[in-house]
Amino acid sequence: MAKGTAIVSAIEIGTSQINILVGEVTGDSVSIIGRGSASSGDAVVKGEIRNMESAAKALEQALTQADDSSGNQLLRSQLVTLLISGGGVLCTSGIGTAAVRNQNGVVGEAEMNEARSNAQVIELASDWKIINTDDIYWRLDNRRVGNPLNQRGRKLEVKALIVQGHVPRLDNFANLIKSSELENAELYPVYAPICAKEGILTDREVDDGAVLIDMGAGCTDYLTAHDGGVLEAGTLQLGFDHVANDLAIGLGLSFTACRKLFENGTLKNAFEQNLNSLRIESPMGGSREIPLSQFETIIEARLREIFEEVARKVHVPGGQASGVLTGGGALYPPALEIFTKVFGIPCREGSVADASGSLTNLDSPRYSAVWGALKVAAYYYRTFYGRNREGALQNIIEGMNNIWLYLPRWIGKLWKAFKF
Amino acid sequence: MESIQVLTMKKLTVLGVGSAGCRITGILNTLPGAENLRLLGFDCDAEALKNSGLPEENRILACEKWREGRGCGGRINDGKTAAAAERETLAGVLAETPLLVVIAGLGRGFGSGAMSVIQSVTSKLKIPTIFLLNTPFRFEGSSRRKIAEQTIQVDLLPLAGAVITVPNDLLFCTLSSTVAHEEAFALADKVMAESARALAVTLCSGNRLAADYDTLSGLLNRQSSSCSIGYASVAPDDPEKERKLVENLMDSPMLGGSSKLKNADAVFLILNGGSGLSLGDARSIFENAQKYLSPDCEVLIGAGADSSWGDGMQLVAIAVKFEKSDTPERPLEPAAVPKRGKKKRSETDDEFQPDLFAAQTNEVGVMEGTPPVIVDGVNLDIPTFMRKNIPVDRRN
Repeated sequence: MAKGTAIVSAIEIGTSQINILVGEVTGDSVSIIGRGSASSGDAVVKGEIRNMESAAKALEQALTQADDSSGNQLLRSQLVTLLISGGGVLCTSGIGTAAVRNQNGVVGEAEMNEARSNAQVIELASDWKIINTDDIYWRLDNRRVGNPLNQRGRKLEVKALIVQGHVPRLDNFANLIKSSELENAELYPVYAPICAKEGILTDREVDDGAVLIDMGAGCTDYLTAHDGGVLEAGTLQLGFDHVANDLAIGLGLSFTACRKLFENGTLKNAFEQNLNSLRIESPMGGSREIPLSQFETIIEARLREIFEEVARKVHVPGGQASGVLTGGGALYPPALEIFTKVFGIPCREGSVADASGSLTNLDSPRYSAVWGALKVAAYYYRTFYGRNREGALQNIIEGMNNIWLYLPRWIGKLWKAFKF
Repeated sequence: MESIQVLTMKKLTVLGVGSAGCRITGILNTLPGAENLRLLGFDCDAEALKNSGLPEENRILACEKWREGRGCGGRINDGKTAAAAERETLAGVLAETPLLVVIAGLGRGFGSGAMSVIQSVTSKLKIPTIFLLNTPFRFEGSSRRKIAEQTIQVDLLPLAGAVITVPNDLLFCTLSSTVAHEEAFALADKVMAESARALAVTLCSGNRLAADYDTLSGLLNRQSSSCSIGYASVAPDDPEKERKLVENLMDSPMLGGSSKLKNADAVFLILNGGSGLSLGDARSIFENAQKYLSPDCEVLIGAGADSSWGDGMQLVAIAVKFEKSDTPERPLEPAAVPKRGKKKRSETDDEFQPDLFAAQTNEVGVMEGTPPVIVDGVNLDIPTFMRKNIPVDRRN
């Protein structure tokens, strides 16, 4: 490891697989130096850990792979971000105000942080804690401003997105990591849609307006952004496993076979080649010829329902908004078309386009969120280790109520530095 | 009206209602054996009547005086008013008919609006009537589906003798999505036309087996149900016609695949052939067909022989799936049909379901044992196609 660099990692314990990225932070950039993956098996259901023992085994396998591919750098990770999704997360918003008291009447960092702190004063149910916050917009003397820093005014307001996590469920994830060889690294939970946004949305999309859907196996995360900030975010415990389950029931196939049709690209290829039917080999011998229209009917019904459910919860922001679909769901080509029909906006497949380092072949949309989480890890590292490390690096899950871990608007600007 | 009076000389009647019904009746007019039927078209749209291909004297243009041959633009009330204006005409035309088969596509103005009028006329005249109805595609939108549901639930089910509702969505079960739009509709229309002809001919004449109108209406009246229809024919010179007839039936576009037969509570099998149709042929075909049915399925068979068939044969299957009246949980979509205090066919029959074949509400597959995802009281772990009654084919 070169002087002046640090190792950070990102972990995604997903319903279908566990993904780990190891990155090297140099200045304002992060390069991927290692990667590990393992099937989650039955360990995770709908984004939540169901079987700790299986999860630990799968995590160990993925960690070993990541450590090997990074040249044994994984265990040197100083900071680890952990993607959080599923039913144990709740997104709300809060408004905080601060008076501009300094002599010049100019907004400084102190006023901004005070407003942000006040925005976090919300009623929390027992066992729930704030895990992430993000600015939605700022107002200075009742007018909306992009960035109030150094502007003159008297009353500063911020509307912030507040992500709450259910502590017992977060503890499950934290305990899993702590029981692994990464026990000494600082662990930060990060909400999955925010990571997906950092991973694949462009500055322009965030400014013009975007609806981002990250459809994983167990959960579908969604987020809307406009004017540089996140407006709404949330998670549905519906994912591509529901699609595979529908196919299994509808066509009398096994769930595993249906899942594989997506994972190995069989269905994608069939649609791209305009095939009329798909031959499914039975493990007991023999085969079945199933019209592709049957798959199409079942998949479209489920995807449309999931997208409509998201559409009920969010507002399409701005007049120039566009859609981005990522995660395993984006591996099914007609999904983009269904997205466009439901939301009435153009949609693109979101996959990692700006990764750098020795392992950059993350072209599958399945890596969008974990790549975003690695970027967040690098940002956290620079923020806390590079500036005021003392006292700030408490473990988030153990007690981060008073820690302000916002993702400022200018992370988008930093992002440019990651592009090569 | 003089020409219509002449029509009453003929007996057995097929009445196409609305543009879809007239179109199907027009196709029926081109089929062999149709000359023994009285085929009528009833619509307020003069252009649709003309395009049906029915002879002019067989067309009944509704409310010509006020509507001047214009359609009712999907407005069900206009359709009802226009049909009601011809109540006396209908009563005159249908007075002597021993059996009426009404064909219509529901979901638009006249086809749906006229149903209550026709039902009341035939009821008053005590004419045994079979309503053979298409319900709209799911993609046509909820408003059309609601009209269709309301027509069936409120206007027909409580009072009519035999209502056979066939969802257009069944077309997706066997046809590829790449099949041309026109071709798909033409196939569906042909199946409906052939089924209407087979029903009418078999029930009214020549049937020496179990099926008759009372049996059919008794079956369909027993509980709220949804149906699918299959039709197949073979050429007279085909050496394997008995086997192929049944195989072709399974590919029929409105049957929805062999799984529909396997899951059916009752199946009405109708075999028609020429004068050479032997008892051995009938036995062989019915036995072949029954291999696709579950052992508990109630089977009604009918056979008709007519010289117009030549050596060819035709097999029609109407698969009936009853709504489960003892199911404590209703299917998960909220009922769209307002209750009007009319008599219902069963305690739980407050909602039209075009296809219940796959609707096993407890089937969540691998989601069993996981915390259910409930949104607005609906368990989203249950496959979407089941909850929304989208037909799929589980054929092996």
